[in-house]
This record gives sequence, structure tokens and C-alpha cells, in this order.
Amino acid sequence: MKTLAIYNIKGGVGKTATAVNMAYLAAREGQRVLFWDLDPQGSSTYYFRIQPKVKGGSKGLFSAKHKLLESIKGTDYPNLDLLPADFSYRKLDHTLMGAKKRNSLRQVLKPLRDEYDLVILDCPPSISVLSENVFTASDALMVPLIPTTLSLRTFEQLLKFFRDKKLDLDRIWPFFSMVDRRKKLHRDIVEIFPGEYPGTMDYAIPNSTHVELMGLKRSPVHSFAPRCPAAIAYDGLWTELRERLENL
Amino acid sequence: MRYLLDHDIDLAAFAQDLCKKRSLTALSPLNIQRQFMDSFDWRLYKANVALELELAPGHRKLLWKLTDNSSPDLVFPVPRAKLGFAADLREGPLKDRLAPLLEMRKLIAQLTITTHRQPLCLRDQEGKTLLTLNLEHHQLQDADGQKVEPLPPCLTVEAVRGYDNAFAVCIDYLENKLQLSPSDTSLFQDGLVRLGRYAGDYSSKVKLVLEPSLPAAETTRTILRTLYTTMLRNESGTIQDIDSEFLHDFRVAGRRTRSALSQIKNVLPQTEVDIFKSEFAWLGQITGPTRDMDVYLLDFEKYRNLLPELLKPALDPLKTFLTRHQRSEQQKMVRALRSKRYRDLKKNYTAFLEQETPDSEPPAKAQQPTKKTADQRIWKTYCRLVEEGRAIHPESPAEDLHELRKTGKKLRYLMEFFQSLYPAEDIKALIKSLKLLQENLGNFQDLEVQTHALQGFANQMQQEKIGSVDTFLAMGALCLHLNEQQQQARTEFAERFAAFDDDINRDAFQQLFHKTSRSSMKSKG
Repeated sequence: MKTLAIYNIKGGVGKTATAVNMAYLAAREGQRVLFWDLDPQGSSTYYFRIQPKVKGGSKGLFSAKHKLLESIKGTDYPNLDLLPADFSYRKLDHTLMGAKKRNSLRQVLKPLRDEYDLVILDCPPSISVLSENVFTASDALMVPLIPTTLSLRTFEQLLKFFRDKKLDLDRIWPFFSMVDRRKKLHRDIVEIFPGEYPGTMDYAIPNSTHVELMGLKRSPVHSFAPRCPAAIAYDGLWTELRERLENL
Repeated sequence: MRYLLDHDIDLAAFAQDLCKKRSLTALSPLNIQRQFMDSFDWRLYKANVALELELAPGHRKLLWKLTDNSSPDLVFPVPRAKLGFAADLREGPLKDRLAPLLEMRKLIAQLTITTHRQPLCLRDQEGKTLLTLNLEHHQLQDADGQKVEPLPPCLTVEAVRGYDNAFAVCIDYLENKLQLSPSDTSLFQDGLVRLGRYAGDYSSKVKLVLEPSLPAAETTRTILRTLYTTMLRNESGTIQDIDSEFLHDFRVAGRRTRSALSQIKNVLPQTEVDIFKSEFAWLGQITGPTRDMDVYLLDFEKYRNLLPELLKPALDPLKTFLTRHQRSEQQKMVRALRSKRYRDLKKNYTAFLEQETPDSEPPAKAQQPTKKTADQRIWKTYCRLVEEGRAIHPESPAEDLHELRKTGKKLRYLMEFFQSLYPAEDIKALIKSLKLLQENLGNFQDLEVQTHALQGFANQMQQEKIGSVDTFLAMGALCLHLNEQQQQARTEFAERFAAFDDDINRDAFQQLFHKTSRSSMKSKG
């Protein structure tokens, strides 16, 4: 079982769209995928048309294995299950601080090892105790970046945090998201950045109405526009991601 | 969950009624061709897996189900190329699952059913599916895809994880309100039964339940009939070259037949036994070259991996050569399997196996109880094996080891034929100890043959202008590796034989097959 986090300190960068589409593509290939919506806002849970509710809340999930298993819901897509968001996740930092271990999340995921091939963690923005747990529990972090100065600044903050905590920087895989090729700044950053950060993924996701429509359709982009430029870009990104995960 | 419905049920009206009463949404109906896939020898079924291919316009699914329902079904995309060998699949989760189970065997459709399916969905106010009901009409096709006959219509319920309540309410309605009873068989099982078959109805292993007191002649004919059935079941796959194992099993059944004819002595009429021994030997000869080519092709990756990276690509022309010759040998073999000689062999042998009346002058041991014959034959062959094995020394020629291997094979076949006459655990343990010895002898002999064959191939390839200097260099390097492995097998022989010929094993053989006699097999030295 591989665990992948889709993470950025900054919000509104296309995190949830990426997480949902990557999970859908992995499952479509025959991988057994569990999607954990860790964001109390529950956007992914909404996309999957599932109630954002976990019996016993976050405390229950971290205290008993059966609570976790009971909370898993099958989505409308084969091989893809969801652990929904819950409003109590806003207190996850507090729960995890009580656990006093930065590998609590890793422990919670352990019993799922034989049941799933891939766990995707859709993380809330910010840097917190939960993020630290996510970093320890994940085999890799996909970081969506909008090619803007502000976005690159937050990426630097993430790198600094990893350096300070002596975490493995090679597991951070940034890629560009919401790219608007009409903007010179976007084009320049997309060209220059991979030279400075060689771990950058090759495929970039264009700014797309179809991705925005995911909220309205409440489904992955492939299920309603499988040939739109964004879906094709996600196909490429998934192929690259799959290779990277296999080589871990 | 699956519920059988009445043959004459009006599914459309039933669907409409369900939708109205249970707030279900009817989705577009589908006409699906369903193929239940497995290898000829049921490797997936034996691993608790049912693989089902569903094809309909806009609906292409490959379902991986565990027959014990220990985990949810998996759905794979249907590969573009026709499903067959695992090796031909793209790298990915399907190949990862199939390859270790199928190995060299090809997927075939064990059963084909055409289903008219009306899916009905239960959704919540968010539009999320909580469960799906499928109302289905089925038409069964036979092995040739020709004859079509209906199977009982059914209703299946697909639960969705985490929505147990919706499922429980639905089941309660179907079972208590509509008085439907859940079926304890699957559609696949029902279809097979209708064709007079069952899952796992082929195995290359000899599985016989023999009666110890029956006359040996009768038992021997039973053994021969079983082997002949196995041979015939593999005949069509051998001729069509579906995969290499049809020919392999066809040949093994023939070899076992030859062994039974010559090893179970003085039981069947000698004149006919001699004729069939020679005819089955002919069958072994005409099928041998194709099998050899199959084996080299099956082992090709192993050969490649013995070479340093630089030389690996240079070996590819050998594969081209082997593939080409496999094809021509296959054609030659098919011609022989369509010859009058082969047809006569089958006709005469069938008649021979059907003889029931005792001959006027029955062979000396025809009426002897089966168990006594089994004891005598196994013990005698065992003693011969031990004697031949003890005579082997580090300088013995390869032929001596080959002869020893052949004796070992005869002993193993005898033990397998008569297995049911002895306590299962005891005989299994002895067969296992023999297998370990045979493995070593088999390795030694195969490596001997392969080294010589490679030299022969190199000559032929030069004549046929296949391969470059690098190819022959790679083949030379390969010969060296094989030779080294052969030397290693020879070194290991002494240890393996000593383990087989130890006091415990010897006592066990004696206890099982030679209990009554005073004479015993002496320990070495």
C-alpha cells in the first residue's frame, strides 16, 4: 500500500480537484483506492455526493480500528472508497497533540495495508500538527503550484519546514496547476522552476472551466469531459505519478 | 446476493413495480456478453478467483471476484487486445494479479452467457447510489458458442460499502415481502451444471479412488482409461496450440500410459500391451520436438537473465529461431496427429480399454488383487531405483543419471496411480521425498540436453543465417552457465540421494509396500 498526500500550505491551488482526479484514474486502472478527505470543509466529500460525517468524529477514528473501517463509504466509482470529511476534523490538531506522536496518522492507516493499494490524503491548507502527521504517514507529497510568486513563496516555506524537521525532500513532488498560458508570468515560471527544483513533475494542469465544473457535476472530470484538455493533462500527470510511486 | 425468479416472470412489469414501491431509478438496460474466464486447468478458480468479462456497447468491464467473498469485487478496464496470456498484458494491477496465477497458461472462456440486464438504483437526496438491483434474463451458449438455451432469470443486489442499512431494508423487502429465497449457487455454477460440467473439472493430476480387492486387470484398465481421457481432453488444445501446457499434459498422459503398460506386468494381454507400448512411444516421438521448442521458449527469459546486460539483446535472434522452428514442428506434429496411424491407435486403443470379458488364457496376474500388484510393483521399482542410485559415483556418465531419472519417474507414476490404496499422509510424504530426488536428476538431465541442443541450434542458425557474432558469443556464454549449473546439480546429487536413501525413508517404503515379507532392503554399506 502506498500513501500519497495532496498538499499545499496555500488554499485554492487545485488540490481537491487533483486528489479526486488522481484517485479516480488510479481506481479506473484497477488499483484499490481509499480517499481520505482530511479537510473539515469537505469539498472532496461533496464531489463524491457523500455526507460529511464520521461516526464518533475524529477522536473515534484515532482511537479504534473498527471506527475507521465502519466509516469508509463506497463511492459511485468501482475500486474507489472514501473516508469522508467531518466537521470535527477542525479539532484534529488538538486530537493529534493529545496523541503526542507525529506518526499517529501512520498508525491509523496500518490496518488498511492489505485492503488498499493506494491511500490518497486530501489535506487542508496550512502547516500544523496534522500536516506533520501527513508528512510522516505519506510515501510522497504532490504539491500543486499556481505559477505565481506567492505560490512559490509558500513552497519555499514547505521546503524550509522539511529541512528543519530533517524530512526527506525527495518525496516532495510539485507540479503546476491552474496554468494560464496567456499570462507571461505563468509561462516564465513553468519554464524556469523545474531547473531550480528538479523533482518537479513534467505535466501541468491548465486552468480549465471543466475542472471548475467538477463542483457542479459533483464528479471527476473524466466522467463528464474525458477528452477535454484538463482531463488529458490529468492522464499524463497520473501516468507520471504511477511511475514515481512504483519506483519508491 | 442473488435470487432466482420464475421462468415466466414479466421482468419489465416487475421492474416498474419495484421502482414505484421502493423509489428506485431505472437505468438504461444492457445486453451484455459475459465470458467467465480461466485457464483450461482452472488456475484462477483454484485460487478462489472468478474473472468475468462483460461486454456491451459502452460497457466494458473485467470483474475480479473472490469466490469466498472475502473482499469486494475489483473492476479492471478491458485490455484492447483479446485476453490471453498474462505476459502480453500491460504492466499494472491486472498483470500483477494474473501473472503469478496463470504463469504460461492462456485465459480461455470457460462459459459464455448473454444477459439482458435492467439495473435499478437506489439513490439518496444527494444523488449518491446506495445500492443497485439488477434484473437479469440469461441465455447460455455452449463451448462452440452455438447452442443457446435460457437459464432462470434472476435478481441480484449489489451492496455499496458503508450503506448497510439500505441493503438490510432491501433484503428484508425481497425475502419477507416478496418471499424470494437467496440462491446458494452463482450464475456461473448454474451455467456449468447445465452443460454437464463443474468448476475445476480438469486437472492433469491422476486422482483415482481404487478398490484394493478388485482384480488387477480391471484396475489397470481404469487407470489407463483415466489417462486416456486426460490425453483426449488435451488433444484439441494441442492441435490448436492454445498454450504450451495442452501438449505437455497430452504427452505426460501418454508417458504415464506407457509406464502403466510396461510397469504393471502380467496383468493385461501381452501381445496388445506390446503393440500399444510401441504406438504410445511413437506418439512420444512425434510430439517431442514441439515440446522441446516450447520448453526453450518458456525458459528463454531465464536464459537471458543468465547473461550480462551487454549480451542480453544479442540473444534475441535465438528467440526468433526458436519461434520459427516451434511453428514448423507444430505443423509437422499436427499432420501426424491427423494421420491414419494416430486415428487407428485411438480406435484400437478405445476397443482395448472397453474389453471387459476375461480372455480365454488370462495373464498370470490378471486376477490378483490390486493392492498386492501395487505393493509388488512399487517395491520392486523402488529397490531398482535404490540399487541404480547407489551405483552412481562422481565419474558416472550422464546416461547413468538419465537412466536413474527414468526409473524414478516409473516409481513416481506407480505411486501416483495407486496412491488411494495407502494412508494419504504416508504415501504423500514418500512421493515428496522422491520428488526432491527427481528434481535434482531432472535439472541435471535438462541441462545436459539444453547444452547439446544449443550447440545444434548454433549450427542450424548459421545455416539459416540467423544471428550475428554477438548472438553466438551469447549462446557460448549461455552454454558455460548451463554447464556450471549442471556440475552443481551433479555435486548436489550425492546429498539428495543420501537423503532419499536414509534409514527413515527406507523403513517407510518397506512399511508401506513390503510389510509382509521377511527380506528387506539393506542399508548402504
